[in-house]
Amino acid sequence: MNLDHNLKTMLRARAEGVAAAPVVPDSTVRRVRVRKVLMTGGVGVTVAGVAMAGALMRSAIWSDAAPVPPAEREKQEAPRPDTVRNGRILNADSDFWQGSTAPPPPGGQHSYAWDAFDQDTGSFLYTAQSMPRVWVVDEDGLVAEIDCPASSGCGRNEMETFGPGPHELTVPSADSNEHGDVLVRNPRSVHVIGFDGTLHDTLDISAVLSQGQDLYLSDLAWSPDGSRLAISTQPDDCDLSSPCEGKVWIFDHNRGEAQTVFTGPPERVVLRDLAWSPDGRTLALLVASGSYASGYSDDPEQVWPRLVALRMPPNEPVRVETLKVYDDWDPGVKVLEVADDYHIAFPFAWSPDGTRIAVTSEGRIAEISAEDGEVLARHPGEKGFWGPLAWLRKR
Amino acid sequence: MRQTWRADLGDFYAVHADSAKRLAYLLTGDNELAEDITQDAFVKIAGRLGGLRSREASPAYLRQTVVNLCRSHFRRKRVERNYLQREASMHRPETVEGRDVLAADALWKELQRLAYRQRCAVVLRYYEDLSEQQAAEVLGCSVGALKALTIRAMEQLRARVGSEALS
Repeated sequence: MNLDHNLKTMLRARAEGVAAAPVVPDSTVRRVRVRKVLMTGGVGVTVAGVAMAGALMRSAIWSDAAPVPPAEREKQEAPRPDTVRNGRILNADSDFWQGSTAPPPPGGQHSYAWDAFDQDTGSFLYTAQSMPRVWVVDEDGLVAEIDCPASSGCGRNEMETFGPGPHELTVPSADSNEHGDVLVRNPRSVHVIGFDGTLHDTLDISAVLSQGQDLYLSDLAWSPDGSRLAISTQPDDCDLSSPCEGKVWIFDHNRGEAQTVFTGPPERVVLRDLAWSPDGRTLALLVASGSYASGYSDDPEQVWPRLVALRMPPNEPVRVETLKVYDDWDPGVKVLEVADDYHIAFPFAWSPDGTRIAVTSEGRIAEISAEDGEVLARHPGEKGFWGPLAWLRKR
Repeated sequence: MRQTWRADLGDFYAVHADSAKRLAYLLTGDNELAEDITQDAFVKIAGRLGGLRSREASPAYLRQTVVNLCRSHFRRKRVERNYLQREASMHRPETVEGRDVLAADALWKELQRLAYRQRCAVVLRYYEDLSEQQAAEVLGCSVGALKALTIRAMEQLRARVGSEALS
């Protein structure tokens, strides 16, 4: 008997009872999915979350309190940490907050989380695994099951958005690579599709995407009145070695023209999650760069992701304001490590009255002021929310 | 086609998840942390399964990823703090009876007290049964450095666990 023998015996005995989860956990699949989306600029990877259907939209916070205007909030006592004054905040990943909302679409083939949320109607849009079909549900159940026109990328690129009309969706036109993934590389148009599956309109956005280099769309979002389509893009050749100057464009539906309203810093920027305020005067978006954008751990840049507000008052220049810098996720840990292994999604959602934005912060969900980013309330939760947030009106 | 990565991931996971977690457990001494690291490793490796030169290379890449992630975790203050707490708990009086069990426990505790790279060298050599060359590659060091790590680790284990645990 010697140390070598005892060591081997001990190690084997210790390891003998250790077993991983029997199948790939849903959370791991989700993280792979998010990572793939980020590493491809938000393009083309949809995962069916068949087993995750039960986790859909389960989390909620109820409150019957009235919305709190910013000017009056100082007069009121601080909100209880486990309530939301203005409706309910939902997170697709968490069942930490108890509550029930809409049932998931039937069939069990939809994605694990919604791809789009319409605050006006309280509707969620789901896609499916490689299927040209989308579902719209609200809290009362299925609103529409839509078979996408063949010419659209609908249902296959996670780029669907509600609008411009009340029963319409907008998606990039179809384009496929050799793997059958629908891409949004240089689509010349976007399609407006009715809930009945018919093609309502085709909008020419070639002005946006004819800037001398190949561009990917990374997100689309209609202003609440359906007059302006926000489009975020990034260069096709965005990788570790070349700059990635992301841009946000506003396409005027009536005039058919597009203009740039925001250009990210020239350092591999990903612009994602475009979301208009309810009054249509502010467009919020997530700006990220460095390792967060690339998904690689050996990237030397360490730039914190941030939530940016583009203020667009009528007849005035666009003002760019940073509302939230995600530098507080794990104090003492550099973003390089945080971004590489954890928390590479930073979902957010506007409150129905437009005064607040729900963000993930310090491993929790927080309400911040839409004016200045001040943290107004924090809610308990588990670290690492991945799925989207939605803020529903009170019923 | 589109979902190939998921099918690949599922297949790869079914074959290699347990071994990855066992390695992570031996390197961290923490079952829950080992599970987290295992999932982290599969997240990292999922996007590259198709890009590896051969399927045979995947387990080695997974092993490398687990070792790197364990190292990364130990660099984190939060994890280090947890580790210290865990280590402290290991020195509480044991209720387990039996000389062999006590000896194995002592060895296990002392293994966890080794510096990470020393512990890694021991686990790779004595559990994974890697050659010196292979273990050196995983650790990113020379064979000489690997030998030195292993020798120092074994010396410390001998000194700490005493002769009772070795007999």
